[in-house]
Amino acid sequence: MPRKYVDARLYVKDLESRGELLDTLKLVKGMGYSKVGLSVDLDDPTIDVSSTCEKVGIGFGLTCAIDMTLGNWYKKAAEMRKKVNYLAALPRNLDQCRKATKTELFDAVILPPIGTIVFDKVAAEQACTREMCVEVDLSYLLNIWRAGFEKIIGVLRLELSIARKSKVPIIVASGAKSIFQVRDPITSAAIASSILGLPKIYALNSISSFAEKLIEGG
Amino acid sequence: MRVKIPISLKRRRRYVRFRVYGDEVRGEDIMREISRSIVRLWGVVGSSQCYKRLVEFNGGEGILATDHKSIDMLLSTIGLISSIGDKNVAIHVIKISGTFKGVKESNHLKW
Repeated sequence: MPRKYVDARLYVKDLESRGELLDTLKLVKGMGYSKVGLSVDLDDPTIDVSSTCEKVGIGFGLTCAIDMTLGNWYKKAAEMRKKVNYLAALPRNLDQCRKATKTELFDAVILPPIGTIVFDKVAAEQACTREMCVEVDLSYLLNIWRAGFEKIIGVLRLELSIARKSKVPIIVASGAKSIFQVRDPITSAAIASSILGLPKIYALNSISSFAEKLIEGG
Repeated sequence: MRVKIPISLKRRRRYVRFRVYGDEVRGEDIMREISRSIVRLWGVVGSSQCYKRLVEFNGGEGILATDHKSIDMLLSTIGLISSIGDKNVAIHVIKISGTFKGVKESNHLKW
């Protein structure tokens, strides 16, 4: 049976504001993805995307990324929990990441491209017991010429090896905020395996079965 | 005299058909950007081991020749290119094949 590829995160508000949502969904469908995770905004979670997805003929699941630097992140997360299929935390430091993996509200932790470790062994063990995933957005990696890119890659690789060692599933998504940030499944798998250091089969699972399970199961 | 290479060290050819999405760019600019990005990501040694050649390019679509050892390196580099000069572009891979005929005949294009 052929793999069903899933792009677990496209930012709806950014795409909508650029008027690229429909074109992006068409492009993603044409690339061979069967489902997408549409990340809605905290302030405006009611954007109707079902008609657009139906028009294109692509399956979708709603998601939201909660920035842990917000003062009321717990309240916001509890509010959004009922509105989306899966909820992801975006921690900026180790403390925030451990808090995110401790609460039962989140299904995934997005690894930020900041060049310092946020996902350590303690967070990984907590994530494993709560059946959470780790998500990497490729859009963060697109500017290879920025300063400190080497450090970002090094830290991401370390965090992903910690996640793999603790048997926490890893999901690779495009995290696209514009149509130029969408990547096809072949390229995404190649980046996951050669840049992020995942084994080839695991890299393919991270853009297919793991991501599909997250979108369906939450 | 013909150079002889052990069969285990021979490189198996791979062809990559790609499409450039965004502003119009020239084939030379794409190859220059790929070479620069490979050096940035993989260093000079990595770059020296990565075989790449632009076989065909018609402004929107093209075919790159590489080998089975450096295909992952090339694909990941292509995936991380988001601009060429001051132009926003994304390079999408359509098909990979071991023969030029195979990659040329692919009727996979849906977008």
